[in-house]
This record gives sequence, structure tokens and C-alpha cells, in this order.
Amino acid sequence: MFLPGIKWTLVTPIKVTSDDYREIKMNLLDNQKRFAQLTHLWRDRLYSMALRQTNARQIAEDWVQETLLRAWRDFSQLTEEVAVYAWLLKILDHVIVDDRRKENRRHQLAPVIAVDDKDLLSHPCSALGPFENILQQQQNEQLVQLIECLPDEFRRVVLLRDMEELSYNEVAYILDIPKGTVMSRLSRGRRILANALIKSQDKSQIKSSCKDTATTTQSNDGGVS
Amino acid sequence: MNSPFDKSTKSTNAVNINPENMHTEKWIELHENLQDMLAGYIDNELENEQIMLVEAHLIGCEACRNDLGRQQALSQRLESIPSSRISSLANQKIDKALEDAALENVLSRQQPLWLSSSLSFIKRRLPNLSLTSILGVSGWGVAMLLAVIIFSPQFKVHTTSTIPMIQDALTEYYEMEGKALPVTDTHNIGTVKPPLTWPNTQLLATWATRIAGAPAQVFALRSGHNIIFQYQINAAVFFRNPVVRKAISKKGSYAMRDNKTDVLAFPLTNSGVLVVGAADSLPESGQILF
Repeated sequence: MFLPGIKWTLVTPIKVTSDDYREIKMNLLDNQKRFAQLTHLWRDRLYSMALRQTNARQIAEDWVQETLLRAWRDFSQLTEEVAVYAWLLKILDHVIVDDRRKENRRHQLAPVIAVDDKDLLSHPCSALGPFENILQQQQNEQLVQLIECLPDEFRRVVLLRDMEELSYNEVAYILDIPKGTVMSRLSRGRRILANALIKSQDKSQIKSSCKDTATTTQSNDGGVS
Repeated sequence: MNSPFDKSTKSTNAVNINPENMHTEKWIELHENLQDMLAGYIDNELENEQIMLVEAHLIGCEACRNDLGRQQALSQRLESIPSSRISSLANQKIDKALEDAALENVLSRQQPLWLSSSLSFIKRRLPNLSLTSILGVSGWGVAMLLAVIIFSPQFKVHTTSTIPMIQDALTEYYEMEGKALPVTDTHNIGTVKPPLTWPNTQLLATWATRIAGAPAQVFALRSGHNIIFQYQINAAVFFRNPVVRKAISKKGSYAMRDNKTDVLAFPLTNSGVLVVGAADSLPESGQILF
């Protein structure tokens, strides 16, 4: 007894003709073109962002390359709701985090610097005028070096907001954290930086002020909802 | 940075309020909470209610005003740092890496296209399927599978031949190996003659079947210790396959071996006959009486 209607064609693989291959190839070429158009503009920006998180140009270049390769791999996941640069910066952030995890870099806890730190308040450079003067005197490289000394959580937020000028929503999307946490980390990160800058005036080298940022009070990183 | 707070307001507001009166427990708690909102105030990222709360606090808190000013100055200074440019050499290297990745994509897609396309089809559809529909479909799938197993004892046996009439003949031959032969009327069996005969054969049974979709008659013969089947099939089916046609026009018959079973095909006047039996048990052409 045969069951009518059951035919082997049901499980026969889809035959791939040379026309299909041509179509795949054309689609890929189109995709490649689109990908290049969308991402090429942002290469320098990605590189800048990467270079602010490492002293080595080679490492920054490698991070950018890895970012773009991952972006190409996940190109289909890019939707119209997401800005291309935010999407790329998110991938770059993952690349850097992955790379650093490999290096077994210690996870830094989030310090809290209260604004009413007595040393800070009594310091002659803490008033706005003198502080602005210090800022203007600092070279760009020195400031970038100071940011590098920040604990991970703060550094990423400060870089994305103050140097990449992204909105809080975009920073939240990139770092996968609530918007309120972006705000609290930014407040604290800027405060740590300002503190380090003021204290750097007591010492000749900015580098030594990095140590101060690490000795600040350690506590849980809170967020503002 | 459109913060309404600047250097001039700071100095005038601060003097009117005595901070000592403000430093109650509640005030300190608020002061600490608001410290985390100062960045949002500078960057215009606060809700209206939060702005009012921060501004009310700033009036009475010099520390927060100073902090706000420093944050604002720092933020502006950092924004002014120009971005770096990636070297053209690194750019070329990235282009090459992307090109390689794209090429790899094409190559990896060549072989399993049917697989990837079916998988992507399933992937696309999966989110649209509800749990009940998945259960329903899988339930029907199991039922169908059971139906095939239970109701299809004649499921095709795999043979090496691609010629339908040979496949059908072999399939029935293999199936009958494990079954009792149909009982043929003893009165009739003497009068019925198989299409081909050769010495020392005895007809055991005969029954009707279907070969390549057409009616056919099977004759089971004993030839020494072997059982041999003859299938008498109509000429249209018999001559349908070009391989068979060619062999018959050249040698007068067609022969093939499927593992340990031999098949011989002979043309008759108005029909054709397939002889199926164990390897080397079939008669030589010279022994056969047409």
C-alpha cells in the first residue's frame, strides 16, 4: 500500500544553478559597496576612539580592523533605528573589552569622589578661574593620558560623551547600561579627572596624578534612574 | 552647553544663604544624590522636574556650583581635542582584510546553499510561529512518520539499478524472500505455463503484480535448489528504457547484477520477461526454451 502524495521531491535539496551563484555574488558585491559607503567615513573616528584607549598605534589599528570585520559579519543586524557610528562604536567597545580580558587586566572598581572633598575645596586651583587656566595649559596628549588613567567604567563614558559627543541614549546603547548610569558615571568620571588635574598642579608630572585617581574611595557604582 | 548656571550667578547666589542652616540630614542626602545628576544638567539630559530640583539645590550649594563649573569647562576642553587619522597603510590593510572576509563568504556559501537557505527560511519563520502551531506541526510530523512506517510495508528497497521496471522486480523479489509464496490453485498450475522454461524447473506459484506502473504477472519457479522469478510485462514497459533497448538490439538480452542477485531481460513476441534469481543461478541463454 503506497501513500499517495508522498514524493521524494519533498526532501530533495534546492538545486543551485550558476545563475543563483551569480545572484549571490552580485548581492555580496552590492552589500560590500553599501558596507564601504556606510563605514568608511567612520574609520578615523573609530581609530581616534581606539587610540585614546591605548598608547600603541598598532593595537589601535588592529582594534579598528577587528571592529570592521565584526561589523561586516553582522552587517545584516544593522537596522535603520541605529546610527551607524553608534553601532560601530559599540562593536569597538566589545573588541577592546574582549582584548583587555585576554590580557587579564584587573577589573577596576568604581570610585566615588564627593564634591565636598576637603582637600579639593581648599585647593587654590579648585575655583573655576584657576581651573580653567590649568585646562588651557594642558596639552591634548596630557589630557588624553589622564583619561587613560581613569577606571574602565568612567573612561568609556567620558570618551563617548565628551570626546565623541554622543547623546546619553547613544552611550547607553553602546555600553548596554541605563541612561541614569551614564549620567552618574559621567558626573563621577569628570570629577575624578578634575580632581586629578588640580592635584597635578602640586606635582610636575601629570603621570604621577594618575596614582591619585586610583587611591580614591572605592564603592559601588550607583545609577540615577 | 546651555546651562543657565555660569560664573556670574555663582558668586551672587552663594552669599545669600547660610550653608550651616541647610546641612540637615535630608539636605545631605539630596546633595549626595544630586551630585550624580550634575553631568546630566550640563548636557541638557535631565527631565524638567530634575532640572528644577538641581537648580534649587545649586542656589544653596557652593560645592556643587564649583563642581558644575569644573565639569562644564572640562567637557568643553575635551570636546576641542581633534581626532586622529588612521594611516593609509592601515586603511589598505583593513580593505584587504574586508575583501578576504567577503571572498570567504562567497566560498563558504557555495556548498551548503540549500542548507543555509532552508535554515534561514526556518530562522525567518520561527519567531512568527506560536508554541501551539509548532506543537501541532510536530504532532502531525510524528503521525505522518508512523503512518509511513505502519502502512507502507512495500516501501522501496534500495537497489543499484535506476531502471524502474528492474527496481520494481527486484524489490518484489527481495520482499518475497521473507514471505510465503501465494497459493495457486493446484488444478490450474498444471495448465499455466511461464513465459520461459528450461530443464529441471517447476512452477510453484503465479500472481498478478504491477511493474513500472503497469500490470504484470509473476511466475515463481523452482530451478534446482533455487527459486527464480519471471515477470511477464507488456512490451511498452519492457522497451521503455534506452539501456535495455540498446542491449537487446545488440545481444538479444539485457543482464545486470544487484549485489548477489542477477536480472535477465528477454523480449518475447508481444511482451517481455524479466528473470530474477540468486547470482549464477539463472540458466544460460542456450538452455532457455522460448
